[in-house]
Amino acid sequence: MDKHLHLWLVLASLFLGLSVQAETYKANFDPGYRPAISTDEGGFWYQVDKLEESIKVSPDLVTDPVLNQYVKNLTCKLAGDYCPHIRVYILRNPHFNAGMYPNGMMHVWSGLLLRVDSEAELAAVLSHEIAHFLRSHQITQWRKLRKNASAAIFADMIFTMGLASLSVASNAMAFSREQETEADLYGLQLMTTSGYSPDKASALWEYVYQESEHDKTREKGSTFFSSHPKSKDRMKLLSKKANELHTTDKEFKTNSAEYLQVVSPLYFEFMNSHLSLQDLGRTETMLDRHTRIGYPAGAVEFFKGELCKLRKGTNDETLALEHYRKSISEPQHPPEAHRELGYLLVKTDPKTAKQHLENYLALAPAASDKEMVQFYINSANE
Amino acid sequence: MKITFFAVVKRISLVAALLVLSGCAAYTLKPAGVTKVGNMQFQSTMTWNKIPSGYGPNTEVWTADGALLNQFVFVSGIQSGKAMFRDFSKDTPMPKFSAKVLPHELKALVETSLTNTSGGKYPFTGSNLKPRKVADVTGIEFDLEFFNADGLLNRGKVLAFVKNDKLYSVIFFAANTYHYDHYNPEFEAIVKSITL
Repeated sequence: MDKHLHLWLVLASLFLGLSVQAETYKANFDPGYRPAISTDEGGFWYQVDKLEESIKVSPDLVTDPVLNQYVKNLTCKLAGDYCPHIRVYILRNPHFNAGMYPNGMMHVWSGLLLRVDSEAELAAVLSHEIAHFLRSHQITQWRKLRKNASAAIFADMIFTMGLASLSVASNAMAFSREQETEADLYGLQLMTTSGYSPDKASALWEYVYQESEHDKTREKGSTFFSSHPKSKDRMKLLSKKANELHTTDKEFKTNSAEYLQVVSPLYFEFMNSHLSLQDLGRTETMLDRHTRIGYPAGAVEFFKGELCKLRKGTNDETLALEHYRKSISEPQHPPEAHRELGYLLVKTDPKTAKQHLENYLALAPAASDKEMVQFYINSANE
Repeated sequence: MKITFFAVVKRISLVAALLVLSGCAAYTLKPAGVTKVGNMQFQSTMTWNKIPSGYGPNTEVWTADGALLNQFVFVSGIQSGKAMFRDFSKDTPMPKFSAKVLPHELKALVETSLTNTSGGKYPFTGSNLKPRKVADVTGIEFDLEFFNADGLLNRGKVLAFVKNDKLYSVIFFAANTYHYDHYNPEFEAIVKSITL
């Protein structure tokens, strides 16, 4: 009896020990797998391939060679031996998202790049997506959906609706919470194996949660949140796991400077596209973060001015003037800051307005709105 | 079964309601010549179809080959404090026009109003902003570009001006392939002939 009790105690402690130790995940996807085109699953893959062809020529594809190479290299580092099976496409889309398809196509949106503060945070999201792929979550989910829907409905959905069906299928195929949690933990394993600080995964979710708190529509409006666990829950889990990983002596890196160097040249373009969302609460949170991260101050202050201009509150015109002035006080600033200063001063201080408008044209002689600006310069002369 | 007078009236009303809902009855031909939208008068050089406007009051929509391929949106006499278009989504309310705006500020008003007709999903981007004299006032003209829900590139042109504290605009856009070049001269012809 004592012997049995001892055995039970050993087994129980082993079980408890295993459950607190970080679980090691392994890939279970088959690199050579390709369903026959005549099957429903083959039809689905065909649509995904078609989507990839259209992405290659999409006007929203970001083609900057330095950024593309950087994100590809990072993906390869994280995916290790599986790198040749993944193809990265960076898309100009201001929402916070990244996605992975069963054929190895990965999408990274510009809205994600504007929110992560370092290579380590980008690695956290890419690892999560790679983990979905390596654990065959997309295919498992597709088969589950296929099993629950009638063959006729599915054939209709895939073959008659064309590409539009893909988004319908993608929504229906949202990963289960279990799959998301597995991708989070496997992702954490991939990023730490490559030497990235595990704290950055929960730090990113903490920021995302904070940003969503400033959004009137909250998380419901985001494509990403429609399929992913709420950021507060995932933040807690990732933070707990990161603490466990820190008990090892391993040195971890963040690589913030490297990240900023690559993304900064595209910052103006990405933020311009973000402003079209008219999501002023989120924009304010993002810009405060951009100041802390160290994006070029001339550009960040310009967008703070733009935010005030769009908000149109009682004191916003004065605040906008302050931000544009701060922007032009930086050695590197967008010429547009002069234009906006000029426009804001046209009624109250035409002389200074004229100077700023002339500065704008001097800095951007090929500006497409030069006739409009010249009109105000001429009006000030009258 | 006895069919009562009221039953017949009911059936006729139902058919009439269906016809109205289908929209067929609301298409009207707009032959080339002088015409008026609100108090904005202009001259067209070809025949257009006036179709029901989903943009709201004070607007009129014309197309030659279907609204997805080409359309003119005329906006006439928006008062200060009102929006150009009706709200399409509560998350992206239409910006309000203010009679105090400077001419260049009309660009953002038109861009955002058009963008918000899709709840912000398909942004309209303007370029080549320039002043344009029209009906004895200085308004603005700019080029327009957007990708529709099917990813099709559309291009267009916008005229906007304020007269007597009211906003007027002519918005033209069409599929980039063939339609934009084909109907672009009509924009110039209409804008050139505007009187109030």
